[in-house]
Amino acid sequence: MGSLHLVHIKLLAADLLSLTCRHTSPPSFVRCGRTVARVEIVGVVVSRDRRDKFLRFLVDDGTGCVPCVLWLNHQYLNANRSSGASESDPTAEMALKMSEVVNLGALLRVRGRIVLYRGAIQITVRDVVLEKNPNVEVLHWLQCVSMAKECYDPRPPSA
Amino acid sequence: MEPLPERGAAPLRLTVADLLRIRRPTTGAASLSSSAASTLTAPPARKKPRHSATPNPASSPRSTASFAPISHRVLLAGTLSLPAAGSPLTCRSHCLSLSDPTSAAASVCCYLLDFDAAAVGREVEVLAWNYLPSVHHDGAGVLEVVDWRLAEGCAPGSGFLKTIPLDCAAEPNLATHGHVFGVVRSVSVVFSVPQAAQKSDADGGDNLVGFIAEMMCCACRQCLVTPLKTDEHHKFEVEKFVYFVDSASRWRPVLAQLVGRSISVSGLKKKMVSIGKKGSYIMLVSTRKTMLAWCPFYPSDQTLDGSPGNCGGVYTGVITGIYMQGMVVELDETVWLLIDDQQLAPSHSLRVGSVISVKNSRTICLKFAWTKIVLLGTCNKTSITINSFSLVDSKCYIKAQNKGLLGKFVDSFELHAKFWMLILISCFKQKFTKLFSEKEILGSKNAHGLVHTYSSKVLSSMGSKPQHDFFMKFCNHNCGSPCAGSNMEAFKLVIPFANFICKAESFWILTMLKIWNGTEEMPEIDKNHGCHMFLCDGVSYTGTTKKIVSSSDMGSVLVGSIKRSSLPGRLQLVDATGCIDVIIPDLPPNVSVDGIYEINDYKVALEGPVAYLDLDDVADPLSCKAAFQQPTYQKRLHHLKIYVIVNWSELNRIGPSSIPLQINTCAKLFHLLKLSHIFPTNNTFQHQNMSGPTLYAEAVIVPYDLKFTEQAECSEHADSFRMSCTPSLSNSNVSMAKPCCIPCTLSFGTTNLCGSLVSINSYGPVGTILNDTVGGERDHISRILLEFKDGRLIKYQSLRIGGYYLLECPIESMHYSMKGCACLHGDKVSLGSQSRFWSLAITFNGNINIKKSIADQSIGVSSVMVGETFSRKAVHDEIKVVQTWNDFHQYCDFRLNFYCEVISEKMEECNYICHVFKELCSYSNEVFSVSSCTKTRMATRPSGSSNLQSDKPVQGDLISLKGKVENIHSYDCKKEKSMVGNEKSCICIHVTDDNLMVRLCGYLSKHCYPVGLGPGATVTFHRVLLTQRELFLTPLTYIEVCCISLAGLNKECVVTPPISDCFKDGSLNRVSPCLLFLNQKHLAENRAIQFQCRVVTIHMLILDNSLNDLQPSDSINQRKTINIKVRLAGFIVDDGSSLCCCWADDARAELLLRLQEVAVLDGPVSLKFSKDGSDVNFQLTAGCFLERMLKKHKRIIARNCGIPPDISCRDLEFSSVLNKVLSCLEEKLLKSIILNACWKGTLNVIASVLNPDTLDGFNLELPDLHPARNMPNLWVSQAFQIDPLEEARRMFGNLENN
Repeated sequence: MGSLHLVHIKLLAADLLSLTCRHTSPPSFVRCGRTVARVEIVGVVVSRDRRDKFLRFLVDDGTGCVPCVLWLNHQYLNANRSSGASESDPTAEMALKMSEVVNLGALLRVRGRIVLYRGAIQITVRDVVLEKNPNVEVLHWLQCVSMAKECYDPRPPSA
Repeated sequence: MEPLPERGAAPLRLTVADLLRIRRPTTGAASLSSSAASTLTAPPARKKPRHSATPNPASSPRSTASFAPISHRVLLAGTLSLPAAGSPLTCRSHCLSLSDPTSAAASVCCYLLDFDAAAVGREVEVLAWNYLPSVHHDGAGVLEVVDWRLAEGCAPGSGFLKTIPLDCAAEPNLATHGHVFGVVRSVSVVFSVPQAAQKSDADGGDNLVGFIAEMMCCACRQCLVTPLKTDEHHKFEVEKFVYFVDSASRWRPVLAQLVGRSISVSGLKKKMVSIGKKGSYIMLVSTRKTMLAWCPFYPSDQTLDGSPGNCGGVYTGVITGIYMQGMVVELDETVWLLIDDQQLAPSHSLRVGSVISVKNSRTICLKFAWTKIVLLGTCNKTSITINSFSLVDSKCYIKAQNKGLLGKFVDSFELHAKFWMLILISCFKQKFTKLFSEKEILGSKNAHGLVHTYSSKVLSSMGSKPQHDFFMKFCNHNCGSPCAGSNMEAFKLVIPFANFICKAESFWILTMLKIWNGTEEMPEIDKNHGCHMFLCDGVSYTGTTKKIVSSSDMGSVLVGSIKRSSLPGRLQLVDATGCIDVIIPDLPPNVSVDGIYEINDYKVALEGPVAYLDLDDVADPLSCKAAFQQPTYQKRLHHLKIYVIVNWSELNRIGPSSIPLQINTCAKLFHLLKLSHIFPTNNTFQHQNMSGPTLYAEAVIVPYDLKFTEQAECSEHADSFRMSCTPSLSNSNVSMAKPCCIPCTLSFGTTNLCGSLVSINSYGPVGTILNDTVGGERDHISRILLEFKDGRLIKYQSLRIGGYYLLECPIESMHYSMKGCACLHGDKVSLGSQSRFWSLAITFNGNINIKKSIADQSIGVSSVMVGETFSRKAVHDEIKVVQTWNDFHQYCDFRLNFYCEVISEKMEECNYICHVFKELCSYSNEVFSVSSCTKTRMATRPSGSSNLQSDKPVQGDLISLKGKVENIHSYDCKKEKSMVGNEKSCICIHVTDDNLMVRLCGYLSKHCYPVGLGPGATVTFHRVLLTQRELFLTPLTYIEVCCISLAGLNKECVVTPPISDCFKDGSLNRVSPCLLFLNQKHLAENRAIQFQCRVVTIHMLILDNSLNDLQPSDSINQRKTINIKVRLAGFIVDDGSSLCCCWADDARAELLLRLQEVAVLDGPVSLKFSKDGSDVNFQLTAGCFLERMLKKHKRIIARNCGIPPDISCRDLEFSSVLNKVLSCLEEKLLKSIILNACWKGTLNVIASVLNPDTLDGFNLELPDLHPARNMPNLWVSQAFQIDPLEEARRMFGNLENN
């Protein structure tokens, strides 16, 4: 239970961006003595930059803006594998579909790995869910507060 | 467009003659400074002009368009004078006249703000004004003067008193005689009395116009000395009435403005005024020499008596509504002003938006049954003045009244009753405009309308107020009659049904809000969790709940015509605004319900799913404003079922009386039938008969006929009828038979007939009675289809399964064959409007049941017995919709009573009679209770799930089932056959008998959905299909609602999930959401936990073909659901605190997999069909593709060898149970399904520790992966979508409490 690195922790942007970074290789992130690697945020897309191999976007949840990157280069990754494998792999298609919901002003729930890019924290997106009910944002805030109180912030017994 | 004059230039001068040429509402001003501070009166000219100054003659002055401003500065000048003698009566009470100094012919009626009596007779410059042209083209219209000043050179005179000249040329002549000095207390309107009755020297004319002013005068000596010169200390204590008559009546507008101010009137004469024979009064009457002067320096005396009940109050407010031709005015959206006499107010300026002052009015707080209002009552002393004109409205509301009988009737009542009457008239107009002519509703000059009829009934206890002549009313005025708030509770709102529905919806929304806020008690519900959910098959559905509102809470009366809907058992209350379903539990059969009814005492039942609803700002539909304004309400909550429950005795007809039951029975043959089924209204049937609604029922032919003997007089002692066994039965046994008579009586209405039942006494030795015969007969019971044509719908309504009916033989051929009468030979008997079809009650010594000594059998139907089991746990707040058999028998057209004891002397006879009665009563279907039904089912209950999933025709028995409805929800039927009509929806009804619960699934069309079918209702389902596994509603199912519960109930109940080992029922209901990592304690206690989670990866997935050996039909592609079965799925889920492995099957797994979302998407393949040589590209949906795939492979197992929580397609392994290789496309689809599930949003899950044995049956080789090995394994019992708002509220509550 001490480690949170397997779960997607629910964080507000401000908390995410202020995680302590350990310059290991690859870099790891620490919150209250616990290693965290994955995060879930909810916010509104305020910037969108679509490139050939990736989609970069900013999610604003009211406490800060989190840079996110959604990779769309799966077909290149599969290129060196057997043709049958890439034919039956829907990952690239589905990632493309996912990128289509990332529109300016859209309320998104984003999960992914926390990475360091040019010295700044960013999320390598695993999945993006378009939220249609605006109340999820409030619920997310409350969950962040509640989770921090009950789970993330209490010192692990070992620490 | 005219060029705008420069700001500095002199304003354009306008004469009255110019003004009169304007044909549209216009405003003008001498100054157009936009920077001028706006005041309350908001002169229009200060607004920035936008429109052309040119008045548009084409535009209609009737329009309610706002005033058009003149874009440049204009200065209107003219001489202000008292109204001309020839001006209309309404204007004479309020308006002055503005005329051109040059030509007096051009004059216009005008109303001044900031009135100064000094201006009368002088030239004034009007600085800001509104002009409202007359509706009639010959009329001059009205000038509303917002701002004015005296013209230069007209210096106001000095002195203590200033005279107000009648004519401009008149000279002040303060006569010494007949002088009064005092404060004007009230002024009457200008009224006319017949000239002949007036003993005066006034010049000729039919009528003498005049008005009375009430003054409080000073009786001091100084006041007797005239002329008054000094501001003495006067005490105004003596009440005097001055009658300004003839030309002096032109002072009325001035005096109305001077109420509360002191004036001096001289040149009066004390005269006796006699009004016909009614009486005579001595009062001061004006003469030709009368002079009026006012005292500008004397302080105005505002000590008006404003105590409630006395007409001395002053109220100033903005007009927010004018209704009923100006009789009712709403002020400040709170106060209602009832204007008795239309002359009381300057009618043209009484517009929405104006600010008015009401002096000498009476304030009454009215407590009606449905609302409380503050009413300003006017009387003949009231004066209404305008403080600010309205610019937004130019409509003239007040119309000349054509008082018919209703108008006089309304006038005869006191204020409160009058106000109610006006609401009533407005409501009746709304309710019945389309149904009746206005004459029928309101009546005419010599006929009473519907309103009159209704209101006179309600107001019968109220005395009408005494009628007096005007002098009497004014001089001996007494408004202090104690009418306020007395018995106003009896005055209810006759509510238009659209408003009623809106109100009911508001009640519902409020209830929902209370439930969500936790302030409303929901019985047996854990408020923290799941009160809105009903669990069926492990999947949550929105629960339904019910609210009962009594008529006293509504405070309104329902008046409308009762219409029988073409749907069985459905009555509706109808008015022009809408209709409401109505249930009359004790509706006697055979009564005509046509006509208009009033219902005072009723209950409103509201039923619908529990959902969060926000209040939207719809104005209160029960407010007086809504009653007057006649807004159109539309039903907002379409899922909410609203119906009214009312007792027959509460229905008061305000229409034609009912048609009495007439029976002309002599010499007719009747067949005895027992009703076995009623067919629900069905589109399939409708297709066959396009002529109109035709309804069907099925009956068993009981082999007895009723024949009236041909006796002219039916006497009580004669053998006036005979019930004889039909030859079909007797033929077979005729050899050993001898006739046997059982005496009986037949009664209908007030008639009582004696007769006998004649049967063939065909018993052999004692105890061996005809068993074979009976058995043989029952094998081929003759059944017959009864077809009810349009005109017989009334009969159809009163049909009761299990009841006896007499059918008049339509052919009377008397030709009997083996099957009985020829008329019954066909399979169908059509009942038209001429057919006779009567209900019959069979009793034995007056009891429904044969006495135990005679036969140990319930005679009614077995539902009587079922009913008894319910009565044990009888709930008091229930309304019986279907009459008890006792009541039903009471209301039957005929009652047949057997006298058993007379003939039970011999054992043989007794046995025989028992047999006859058994024969009479045995043709009925048994009605199962839930428990007995379950027992039948349990005997051969296999495991597995619903039959609805397969296309295989289901087989089973048609049974009748009675129980209490626990919940109704829509059901995701996976089988979506093409149904007739699209209005069918698949529903699931949970029925209980307090011990056990069963569920009925199937399609139910909107038309078959009976009124009252909701939680808490006791319902009999006739002909539901009982298969080995499930109960299904069939297209033949007839649902009879027996009782409606009045208690709102929503007991959460769990339908046994397929794998139930790991649950203890009680624990499931009380799961509070928690975090996974905190749940060790709960799990250790084997308790269920609830958490919100997202799927991160899928550990294992087993998909089965649920179609078995059946071909998937081609129509699959149009369906939205798929016919596959998730045998087992293991999900790795993440709740933000921890990971765990959740196992699920069936519907829960489908939800977690989002299978139904995927199914409708385009599949990975397009098929090419060659049809008639042309290629049709046909995109297969994913669901369809998956079905085909599983048909091919039977079972597919997917395993994930990746390390959670990451998911990669490379780690997924698929295998087919038939060891066939999966194609690329097949793999791709499966991968995309899994990926999709892992990339979706949050769900709520209720789960508990997995019983290790559960997975044993699957023979699984679980991928042994490090993180998964240490994870807790849970079994998902329930999965449902999250309501973020509800969750947020709960979480906020938790955070606050901690």
